[in-house]
Amino acid sequence: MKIDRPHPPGDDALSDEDFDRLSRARHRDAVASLSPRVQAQLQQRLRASRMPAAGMRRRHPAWGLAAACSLAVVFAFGLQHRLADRDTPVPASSVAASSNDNGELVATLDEAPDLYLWLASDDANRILSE
Amino acid sequence: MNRSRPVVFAFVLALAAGSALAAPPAPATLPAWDQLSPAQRDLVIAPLRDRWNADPQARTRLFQHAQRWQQLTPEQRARMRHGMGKWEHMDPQQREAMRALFHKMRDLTPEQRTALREQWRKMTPQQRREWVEANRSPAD
Repeated sequence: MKIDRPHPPGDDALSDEDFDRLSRARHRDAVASLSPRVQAQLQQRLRASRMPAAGMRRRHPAWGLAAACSLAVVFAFGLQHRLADRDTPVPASSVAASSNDNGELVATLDEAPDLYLWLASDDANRILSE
Repeated sequence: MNRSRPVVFAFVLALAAGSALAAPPAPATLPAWDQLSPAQRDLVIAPLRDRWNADPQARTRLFQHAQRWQQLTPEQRARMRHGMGKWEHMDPQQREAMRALFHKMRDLTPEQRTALREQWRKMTPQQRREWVEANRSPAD
């Protein structure tokens, strides 16, 4: 990468001190021309690069949150398991919801039980398979 | 990207925890009939009560079927449920045919049943429809 030395008009030979002074002056001018937002971002990045451990410290709260959520999940499933296992009276709505045999209950009596028995016989099987 | 991983992880876990708590508890094992409350029993037999009240003409038939069911052995009741499973998968036309065949066959000897089965097997769909029409089962 080529670096252009600052050349003040009319002066071709600069000492190292002059070159350093002029470079710093140009740097100050360049920094001063940046918007406050960009300057803030640069300062933030500078601080981050100087403190490598800070990034690690910032991660700790997030991992702590993750661990807390893990515990919450374990607690939730455990609680749910205990509630399901507990021998509490079942609400009437649960009985209706779990009773998938409502239609079957009526169907049991709607047709002759012997018809259903016959349908399970070999006779019916042969007819149904044809 | 790496910094956001814990946050995403925590978010997914939080969602899982939320859904675990929000999900209804698994149905508990229901007790035997005698241990059900009157309200629970009412709920279970509600469909049958509706059926009973909706069709006064069917009450005698329903009652006779209940009496017959009472006479069945546990093994017969299990077979009956198996037959009910087949019944559920039949269309109305097929049900009508099976009902007619059942009523016809139960009065036949084993040899006559075999003959009827053979006759049924050789029938065309149209002939079967005509046979069912001619042998429509009477109301129980």
